[in-house]
Amino acid sequence: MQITHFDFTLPDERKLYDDLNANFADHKVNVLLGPNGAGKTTLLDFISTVAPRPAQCFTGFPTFKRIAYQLQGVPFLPEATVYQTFKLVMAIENPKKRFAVDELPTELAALANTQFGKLSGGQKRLVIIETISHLNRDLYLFDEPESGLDPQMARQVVAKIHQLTKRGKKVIMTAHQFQNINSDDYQLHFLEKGKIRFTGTPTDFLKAQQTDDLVEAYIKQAKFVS
Amino acid sequence: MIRKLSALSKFETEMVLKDKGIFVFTLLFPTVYFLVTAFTGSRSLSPANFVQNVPGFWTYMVLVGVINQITSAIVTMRENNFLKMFTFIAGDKRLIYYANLIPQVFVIQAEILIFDVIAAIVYRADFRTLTLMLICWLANFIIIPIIAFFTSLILIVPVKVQTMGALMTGYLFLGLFLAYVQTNSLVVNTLMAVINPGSFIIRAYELLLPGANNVVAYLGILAVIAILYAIAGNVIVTKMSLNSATARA
Repeated sequence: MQITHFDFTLPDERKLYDDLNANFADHKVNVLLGPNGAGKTTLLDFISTVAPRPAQCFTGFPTFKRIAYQLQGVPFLPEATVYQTFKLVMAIENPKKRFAVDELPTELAALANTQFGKLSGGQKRLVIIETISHLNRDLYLFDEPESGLDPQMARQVVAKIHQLTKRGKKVIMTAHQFQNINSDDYQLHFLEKGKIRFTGTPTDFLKAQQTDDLVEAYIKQAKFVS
Repeated sequence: MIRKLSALSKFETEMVLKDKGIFVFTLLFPTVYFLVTAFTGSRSLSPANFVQNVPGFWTYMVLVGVINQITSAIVTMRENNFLKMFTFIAGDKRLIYYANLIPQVFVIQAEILIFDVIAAIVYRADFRTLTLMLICWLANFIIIPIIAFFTSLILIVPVKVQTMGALMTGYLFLGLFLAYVQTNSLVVNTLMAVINPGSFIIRAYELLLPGANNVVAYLGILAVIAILYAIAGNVIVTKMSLNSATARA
């Protein structure tokens, strides 16, 4: 999956992407890093085709129907219970099969009859990630999946995302947290000022910034660009 | 496709039935107004006066129901990312639109049916009037989706939720006002039915009422307008943005 020579200017005339080039690894969790406002979510919108994706710049990406996209926020109906929501998704995914409450993933079983709107922020996020992960798609996009989660839940969520690549799925996620990006199964892409400024594994990133801490490496990279 | 639509419609129906608030605008307000005017007005409550009063209430209920429960609902879904999320899950945004439209047609029809029962009691409806009510009610199964397709024009306007309420209220009042602008000119009436869904509904009911003029001509014209509305509505739903009006790209 490649993006080549992609330019995009916002309605306020600010250039968000300036000859952006990116190469996403197929068998790793691609992590899009960068400061707030760098355009990470907007890039996911282009990749997902929610914003029109120029074919000449985006190559190797699946079509809309083969993409699952976890959006920021809580885009499930607050009145629906966790079971109703999950059942709906499973009914769409596999219309011939009836989904029973005891087939809910273990993590969600205790929340089965709780309305989505009454869940905590972290629980909502967990429901969304679980739901998205159960879709059979070629490419999975996650927009800040760890945001608002406690460390234990965040680890659980990232592990779930990581499992997708083990099943041969392609994954791109945005992140601001690094505690769970702990192996070279991840490919980092640092986006700032319209370009991908770094691409490589966490080990490469630490080496490039001459540190052994990813947060420090991130800050050094951001300072270097500015 | 059908199974997906069925699953989504079932889910949507469960959600719709949880929200009793929708009945306030579409059913309670017109019913209260109807009862107040019925018992304080000077007209006699006879079946003969029925055809002059009740179609206006049906028009209001169809318009308000479609605007509040179908078109505004889609805008709200788009603004809170629900539309985007579920389009990714379902694979086609038209499924989300139709899954909302189908149960809402039945909800609006249920509201009109309750209103009709009250109207029938108030007007001491005879068999002929009851038959007329039934025919108009059945016609609503065609009229409501057509009006929904027409009002889906709003979906291509980059409207924010905050301005949606004001826009829809204005649209509703204008639609109802224009619906009662009646002339004997086929051309003017046709034009009104093309640009105003309220006029389209009234013209459609008039075709079913006793003593209707130019039935064949109006039926043909309304059928053509309905087909155009349906085509335009489907194109709009297919092309509408999944992104919120406040999104960057």
